Amino acid sequence: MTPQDEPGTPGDSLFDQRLREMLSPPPEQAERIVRRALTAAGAGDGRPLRVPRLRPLLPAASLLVLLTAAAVFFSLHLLEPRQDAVVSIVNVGGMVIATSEDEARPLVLSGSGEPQSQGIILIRHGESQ
Amino acid sequence: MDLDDTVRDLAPRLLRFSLGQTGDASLAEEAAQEALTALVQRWRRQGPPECPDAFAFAIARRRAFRLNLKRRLLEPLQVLFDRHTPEPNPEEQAASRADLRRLTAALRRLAPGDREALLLVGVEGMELSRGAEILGVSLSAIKMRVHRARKRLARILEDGHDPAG
Repeated sequence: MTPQDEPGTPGDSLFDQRLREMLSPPPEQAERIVRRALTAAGAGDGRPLRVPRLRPLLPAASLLVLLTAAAVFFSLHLLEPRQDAVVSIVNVGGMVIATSEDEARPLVLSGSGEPQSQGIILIRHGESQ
Repeated sequence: MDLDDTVRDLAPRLLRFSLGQTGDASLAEEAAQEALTALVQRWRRQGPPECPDAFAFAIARRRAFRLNLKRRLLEPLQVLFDRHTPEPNPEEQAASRADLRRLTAALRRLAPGDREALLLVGVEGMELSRGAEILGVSLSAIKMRVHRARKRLARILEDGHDPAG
């Protein structure tokens, strides 16, 4: 008993004793939970104690996996060799010539949507007229 | 310190405490059983806790709280479906004695903190400092709780009058 643990009055003790008697369980009930506790807990004997040492690292590991996957995805995407340009645009003496090397992709279409082999593009600055 | 002796010593005390907390013999057995089983498992795997009493009572306290909460939540459903309760076993019959029923009803009228303090310190004779540790309160607070609980419980048991309303 620590110095602060003062006993109650005799009346308190009697009161507590009375409560204890009234709340006391039948002996067979106490014996039953003792038996169950010793049996149920005994079923786990011999098993190595499972200590979840890695569990705290799980969020960090998940994040690392996600970041790695994202890095691999973007690096593959960025490092993918670019296709050769199919259009060249050259200024020849003030005339801009655009040439498509891919015949399947016409540069100029007519009003009806037909591919045109060539055409003139006018570039104007200022207000349209 | 021997495990078997400790368990045998704790079993009736846990049952008393849990009965005082829940007011129901079967719920008390459930809470006490869980606390005792946890203590045995801990003891066998990692050695005895520093204070087996505090370890077991802390678990019984939490379990009793959850069982009380569950019962309060399920009570309306049981009334709604008029669930038939099975015949009480001998322990429940013993627990249904009128004086015990009156006592547990009176205990349930106490504030939970006061009731816990009275059951741990008054009924189980636990040191004030240990009880304060389990309940997470100061020494002066637990003293006050025990005193208040005794006074109020005595008044309720005497004439059914509750001074706190």
